[in-house]
Amino acid sequence: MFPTPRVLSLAVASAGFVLAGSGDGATARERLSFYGTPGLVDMPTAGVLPDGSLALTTAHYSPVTRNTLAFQITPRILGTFRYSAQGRLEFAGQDYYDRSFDLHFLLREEEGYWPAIALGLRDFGGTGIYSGEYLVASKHITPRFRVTGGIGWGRFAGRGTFDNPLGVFSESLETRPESSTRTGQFSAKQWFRGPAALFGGVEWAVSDQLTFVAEYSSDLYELESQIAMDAPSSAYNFGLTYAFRNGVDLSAYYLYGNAIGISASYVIDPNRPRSQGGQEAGPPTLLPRNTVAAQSWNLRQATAPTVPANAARDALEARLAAQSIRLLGYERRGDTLYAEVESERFNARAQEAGRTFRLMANTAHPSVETFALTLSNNGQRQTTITLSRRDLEALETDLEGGWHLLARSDIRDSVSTPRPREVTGAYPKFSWTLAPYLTTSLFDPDEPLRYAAGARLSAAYSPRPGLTFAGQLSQPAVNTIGESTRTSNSVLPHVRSDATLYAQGTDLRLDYATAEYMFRPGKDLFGRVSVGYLEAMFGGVSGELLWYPLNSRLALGVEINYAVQREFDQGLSFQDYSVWTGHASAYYDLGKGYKGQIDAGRYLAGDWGATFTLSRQFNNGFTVGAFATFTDVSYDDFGEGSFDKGIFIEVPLAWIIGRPTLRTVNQTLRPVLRDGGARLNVRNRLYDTVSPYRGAAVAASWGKFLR
Amino acid sequence: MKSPFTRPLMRRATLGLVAAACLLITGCATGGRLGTTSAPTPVQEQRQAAAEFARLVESGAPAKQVAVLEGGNPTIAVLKTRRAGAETYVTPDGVTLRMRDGLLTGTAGLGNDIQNSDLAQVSALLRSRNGGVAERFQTFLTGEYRAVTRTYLCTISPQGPAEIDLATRDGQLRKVKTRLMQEDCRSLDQTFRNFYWLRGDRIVQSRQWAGAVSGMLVLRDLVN
Repeated sequence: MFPTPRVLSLAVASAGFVLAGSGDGATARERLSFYGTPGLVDMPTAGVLPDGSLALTTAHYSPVTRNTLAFQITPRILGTFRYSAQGRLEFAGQDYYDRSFDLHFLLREEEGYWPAIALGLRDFGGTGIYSGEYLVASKHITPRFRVTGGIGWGRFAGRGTFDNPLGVFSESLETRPESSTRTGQFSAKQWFRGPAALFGGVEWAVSDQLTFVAEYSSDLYELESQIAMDAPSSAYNFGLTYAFRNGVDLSAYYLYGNAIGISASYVIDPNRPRSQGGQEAGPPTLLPRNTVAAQSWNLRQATAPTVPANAARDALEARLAAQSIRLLGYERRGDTLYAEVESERFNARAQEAGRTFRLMANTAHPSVETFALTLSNNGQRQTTITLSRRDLEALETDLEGGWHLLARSDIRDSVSTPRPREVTGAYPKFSWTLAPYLTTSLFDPDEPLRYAAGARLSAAYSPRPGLTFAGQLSQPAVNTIGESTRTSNSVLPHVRSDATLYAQGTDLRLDYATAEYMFRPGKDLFGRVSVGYLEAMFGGVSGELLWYPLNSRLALGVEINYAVQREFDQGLSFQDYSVWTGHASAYYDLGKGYKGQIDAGRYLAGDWGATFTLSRQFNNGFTVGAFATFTDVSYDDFGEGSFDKGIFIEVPLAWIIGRPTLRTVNQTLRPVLRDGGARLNVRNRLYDTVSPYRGAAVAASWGKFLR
Repeated sequence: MKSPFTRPLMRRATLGLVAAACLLITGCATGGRLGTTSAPTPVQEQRQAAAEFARLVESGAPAKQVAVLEGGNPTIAVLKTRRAGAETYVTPDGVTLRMRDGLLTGTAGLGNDIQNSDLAQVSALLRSRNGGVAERFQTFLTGEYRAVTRTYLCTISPQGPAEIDLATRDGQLRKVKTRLMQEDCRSLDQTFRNFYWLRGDRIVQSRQWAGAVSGMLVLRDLVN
């Protein structure tokens, strides 16, 4: 016998290095300012983050707190969302919270004698407390020493102001109009107007980890010093930043001659998941064909008369089950073996296909030469990949085998390929989950973070392919969301603004209970009908049709719903309000992971308009996006925020834990949720369920085919 | 000076803590689930792998001792399949190692794995006894699910005879006479040094690079 192996040794030993490997300190990281964007202390630099980076910053100094999320949308455009507090308002007896959006454009990269030059719009919407624009240049004098100088307008023009040099173009630029904009409107009429001022500073990287920074700030903190803090007694700020190898930066500052501040930031690179390549167990490996031939079910009946007719299929079913892949269909026609599978495990669909192909090859009779594999989702057939057994055998261990296999595989819409015979026992299918949950409600001025947590039971029953009865119950244990005392002042039907009323109490609630049918009306067409309690606030009927050719960048959809508002207790009863709502949608893949979406139609409050969504999806599923909805509801009727807008982040759980799973962690940040431009939250919208299986997505995840 | 803003500030600090706790809860929530599973948990996966490992050991399949050089306990990898010159070994924790002629051509389950390799030139030089320069090609999977092939230029040099201890299947040690070969590899941004102890043309012990994260794997044949 062997000496007893000590458990876990290899996987654990290597897992320990994963985090350490994720932050290479080869090049100094861009420093993030008190505003959470590339900058000195309060003033910006012309720096940008690595493309696609997501930076989280929290900064505090005496009553000022700023929490910032910055995303490097393209190599030259940085977008920022900030939630800040500037202390207590005298009159209202509560903190003054503010949400702001920034854009920062790199106009020119640093090169030769040229400095990097950037243009920025800070707080270009919103209430405008931080509103200001800047043009800034930064130049490395030595690799460790960078000088920054800039000119700013608006908030940047507090100290040492002079007439707007842009006044030479038009006299109207010399005065900055009063902030007449309502919350949430663009303040374009103010941009680059009024007096200007200069600012600047230096950064000195003492070592790879430690950076010293000094700046001259043109900001006077006029509003803050009126309500909650001493006025600045100096224009000079100083700071020290320590960059940890794991991606965290900690900074300490001496600000405005009278305050101490601290900040922490963390930069996430969506291209670098916890584990590149994944930490799941190794894939099945191909057996030599003569070994497969010698398996009992493949021997001729004469030599193994007891083997049942479907033994090869049963063997495949069992091996797939060990991979959490369900075999739905199986049939041999000529020398082609057809199979249909479904899995809720692999976020890279090519990995699901790759493992299934190898198991098909390890069980199928040696005379089978071609495998045709259909990937299904919710019983809806999606995409069929056909591959020759010889190619699989020849390329499994080839240097660039994955790529060659992609080139040799035939990928088609499943509707145009024969459907294999259904495997007995595949239906009915039942599944359930009991798990803790946590939901949050953000930005309530009384309590910016409210939450509810408890237990959640969900179950789904599918009597036949495509038809699913599903439901979910939640039992909150703690709930501070419902404690909000703010009542809706909306003049529109309260389709969303009564969220607090829905959240009250800790009674058992029915999140959804639906009957759903997913079907394929034809080639490139997908259909869905859902009936029941569709979401927390509405029940009714929802029908959707999506046209999405296999390799098309464009997809078009229509959705029509009749929605009835549910009672606040989220039990079985309904309120009086009902509405026909629906949208025509266009989805377009702009390339390089950028996706655009337009949904035009009628919203829950009966308003007509359109939602514009732009997102960037990384190949591993990490998604960052923003949306805005404009409807025929006036800004006044809409109320605070003027129109519905927000940003969203979707992180695949696989990205976090380093193992394949379809689960994701989502967060949508809306400055404020009102009744205008509100869409029904029906589950399993087709574009989301179909797009991971379309040609581009399958090919994009092909690197995991052999994993 | 006692500021009237201390309280809101403290409340904000508390909020930060709550937010951090929420993230932790969400993290924990990923583990605390009951019900029908859509993916095997690490524990289930390991149990599957351990069962397969035990079955292979019982069948008397060839095996190797394997260890991550930095900080890993040694474990055993047992031969699962051999097809067209490629051998696949599995460990009790489900990591697979792919070998060709004693050279590590791929791993799965370590994280940042080498997916496939073309080491034909290296293999030929190791067996030539003279050394020389070889190109080594290796494919890695990026965090964006793309397979990227890297090329390394490697200098292979004989280091003379060496006597080493090899473990036998029943846990004893046996002295074995070998010749030692060294391989120094370099790409634009990576360098590593492998060692091979050969007995005839067979690599019986080696220290081979398995990617930037795992670093060096030490592989030893178990002899009879």
